[in-house]
Amino acid sequence: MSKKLLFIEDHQDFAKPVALYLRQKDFLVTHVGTGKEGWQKLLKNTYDLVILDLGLPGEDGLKLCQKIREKKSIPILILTARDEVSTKVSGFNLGADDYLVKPVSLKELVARINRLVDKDLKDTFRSSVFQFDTLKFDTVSGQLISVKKSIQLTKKEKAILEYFLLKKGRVLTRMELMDHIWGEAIDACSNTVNMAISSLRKKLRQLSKRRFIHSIHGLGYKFEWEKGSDG
Amino acid sequence: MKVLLTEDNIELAELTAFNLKKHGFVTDIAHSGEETLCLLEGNGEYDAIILDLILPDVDGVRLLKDIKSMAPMVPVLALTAKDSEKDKVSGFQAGFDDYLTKPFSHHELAARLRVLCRWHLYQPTKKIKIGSLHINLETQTVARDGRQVKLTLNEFRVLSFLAKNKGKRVSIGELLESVWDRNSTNGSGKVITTVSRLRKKIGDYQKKIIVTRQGGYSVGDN
Repeated sequence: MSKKLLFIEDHQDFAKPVALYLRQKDFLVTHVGTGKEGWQKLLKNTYDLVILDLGLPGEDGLKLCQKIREKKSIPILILTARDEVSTKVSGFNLGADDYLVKPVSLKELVARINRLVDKDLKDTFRSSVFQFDTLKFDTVSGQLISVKKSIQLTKKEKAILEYFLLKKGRVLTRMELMDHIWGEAIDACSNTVNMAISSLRKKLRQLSKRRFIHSIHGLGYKFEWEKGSDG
Repeated sequence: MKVLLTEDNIELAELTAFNLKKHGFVTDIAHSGEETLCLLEGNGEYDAIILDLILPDVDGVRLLKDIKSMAPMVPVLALTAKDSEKDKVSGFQAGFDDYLTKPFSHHELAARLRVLCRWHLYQPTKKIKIGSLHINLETQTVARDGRQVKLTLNEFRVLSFLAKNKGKRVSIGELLESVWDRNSTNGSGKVITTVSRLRKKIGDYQKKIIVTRQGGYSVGDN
């Protein structure tokens, strides 16, 4: 089945040949010239991927990227003339799955689109901001945020929490945490991991009454925030 | 998060590892295809792999195939001076999950790695089925006829090691090495008692875990 693409791009003379090429490659392309139209299309229809220009008239493309990611798990490919590293990094952090700078090779564009739609990322939520229970965790800044306040995590606490969230529901052994967070330069007998876990627990407790990190005797730790989260 | 970086330029590899550390990554470095496969076999779990395409001993695309056969779940990013359209397209076709050309910014590399790790997380979980037994390697849970079976970590590891080697004979020594460690005292005793407890817990009435004549175990194929 042909994959459906939503192409948000204001420059007609750029959009037309690109859309034409993508159609020749068997994609169903819906092209819109403004972010507002794009947003409305997204709310009404289902697409397999969004191609998003950042330089839309009167709109901040990055904000739109964030808005889409907060509501939709659709793959987002940013296609823009803005080539600064900081913009790229923001794009990824706000939920983009890929970032391509104009002028673009159409063949590369198609290769990148294909690998995103083939992965079937549609039903997944992907952002650098994780939400669990009533809390949010910004994996980039290391801020742990509740409705009332936010707490800054240390580097190691941040790395542990990010790893827990990535391995959702799985039991992590102390060895594995050591290996993935500290690398090999740490003494296997030390209680570094326990200390970091206990300080992370304290910070979590300041924001929520719920217990997230469960010690599993003789095995390690498990991070859970909802029933059936390990399914 | 832990990544494996394959890069034959020693200075660049160390600089990249140093920079990735600032972004919260732990990096193992391999300088050749052979080292890459050794590390993968030895250390197993990586959250992502970064691969230079031009290596002294093997072609990058060829190496990717070996990596994907050993670790199909781990995303692989090509990091290379090969910047032609043709190279990129064939890179994606070969199965690279992302492609970044040199010179690169370590900020962009770290951001792209984080994106890949987010995907990895949501790929279908790895499951193995043996008769009525469902083993989920990702969540480390086991269910029989849809009901959860509570196993200790070592019991789980024994079962998953046998399951991964379905149909093959696994010696007590191999089990010992993969689950405990080789120098563990009374090693074979541990293996034997763990297997027998495991059998009870999973209700091995169908005799799925077979004791082979040469000593060791094997799990049937269906």
